[in-house]
Amino acid sequence: MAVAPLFVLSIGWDIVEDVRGTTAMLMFIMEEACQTAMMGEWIAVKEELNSEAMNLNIWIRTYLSGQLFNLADSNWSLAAYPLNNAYALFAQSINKTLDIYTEVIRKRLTGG
Amino acid sequence: MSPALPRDIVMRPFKSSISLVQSRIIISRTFQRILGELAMGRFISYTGGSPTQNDIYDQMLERLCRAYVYFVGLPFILNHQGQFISKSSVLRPFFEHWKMARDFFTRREAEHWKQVQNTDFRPWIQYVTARVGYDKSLYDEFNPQESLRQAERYKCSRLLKMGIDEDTRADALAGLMEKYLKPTAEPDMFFSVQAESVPLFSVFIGLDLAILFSNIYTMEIYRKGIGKKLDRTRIPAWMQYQSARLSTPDGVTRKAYFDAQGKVKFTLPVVTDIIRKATIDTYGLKTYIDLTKIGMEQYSLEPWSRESSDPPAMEWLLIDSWSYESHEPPEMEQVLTDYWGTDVPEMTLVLIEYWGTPPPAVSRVLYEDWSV
Repeated sequence: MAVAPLFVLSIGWDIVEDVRGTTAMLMFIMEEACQTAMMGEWIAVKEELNSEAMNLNIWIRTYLSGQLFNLADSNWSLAAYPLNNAYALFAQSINKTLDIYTEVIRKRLTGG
Repeated sequence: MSPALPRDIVMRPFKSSISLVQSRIIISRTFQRILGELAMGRFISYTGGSPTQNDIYDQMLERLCRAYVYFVGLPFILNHQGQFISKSSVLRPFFEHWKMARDFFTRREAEHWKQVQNTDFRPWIQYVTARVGYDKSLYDEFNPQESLRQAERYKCSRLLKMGIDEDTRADALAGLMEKYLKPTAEPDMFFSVQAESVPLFSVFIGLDLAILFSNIYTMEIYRKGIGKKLDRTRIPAWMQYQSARLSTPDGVTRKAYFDAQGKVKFTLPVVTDIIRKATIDTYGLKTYIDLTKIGMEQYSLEPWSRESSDPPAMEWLLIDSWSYESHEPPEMEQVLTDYWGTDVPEMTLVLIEYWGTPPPAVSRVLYEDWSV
């Protein structure tokens, strides 16, 4: 009866694969949304659309990068280890970029 | 027909539930994938500067975003984020478009489904989804408090709950917003929702809204950016590719052509730091430039030297008008005798940009180093 352990292992591996793939895909979609919005943010900063840039800046920070970091930093995302670490770092880097954009707009508005 | 294996029988309950979730995510991902490709094309066309291509991408993106809204379920979105949407100056106009569907089908019903031209829902998918939305009465008035309470039932636990980031810089950002930016709109509700219409499979509403709103925001910013670009390059058609002549009182003349953006470049010797005034003439339309306000940099190769004037070079000078009126010739403050001698340094480039919407036109002049 050497087949039984393989049978259990096979079922277990399928479950792990499905859960892992689903969790990773959730984070991947959030990451793609971040990138789309950051393209708009870059255009807004470049074209000096200050109001739009700040609105989008705060929205990305609140709903996209913040949520992605919360998800990647939670216990749920351990199912996708080590991808969760990569997505957490991505969210942090997005926040850093948004900080720089905020500083650019602040200087532009305050004149230094 | 192959018999079911024991492994499949064991896996069936789990597989069916997980595959349902996976299929739902795959649909979202497919939408996002198409939107993402279009957004990238939009980005390239934006930087490339083709207005026609920009319009095409705009239309495709907007149609796809609206189709996505119908897929997710308009009432569910409004239940979940109605307050937020109503306060947003970007999202509110996008979602108010669905008022048109209600008006359109109401009008058609009153006319017994005849004689009402369909101009708002051209793509068939928009028409079909708008019709479905109308049949299910998605556009009636509703109570925001009640609908938000009902939407709580469908929230996907804490996994993708929309909340405020715990960033310590949030307060500073909020202060900056309050100080410099205006509030967007009054927080009233404008849409109607029936909670029974909310599709049960919209448990990934957070994910859908992240995809959807990011594309709507980006689309709106592209539009505003394009508007700004067009304003910047809008010149009269007759001005394009028209020749212009720059002349100074001491006899220096240069000829150049306006380009499509209304820019014209003149090359002058650097000794124009002694020439105080110049005239630009394009078929009788004249303007005078005070060269002392422009500033320049003087380069010499042997020996190497570099001197900057005050104001420094690369400073734009606004020319506020062109006119056909005859002016008195500018005074010549210093007569040059031999500026084409051996000590003539490198050349300098004058760039004149026709600026703004006519009339009155505004132009800008720039000195740049030509030798580098």
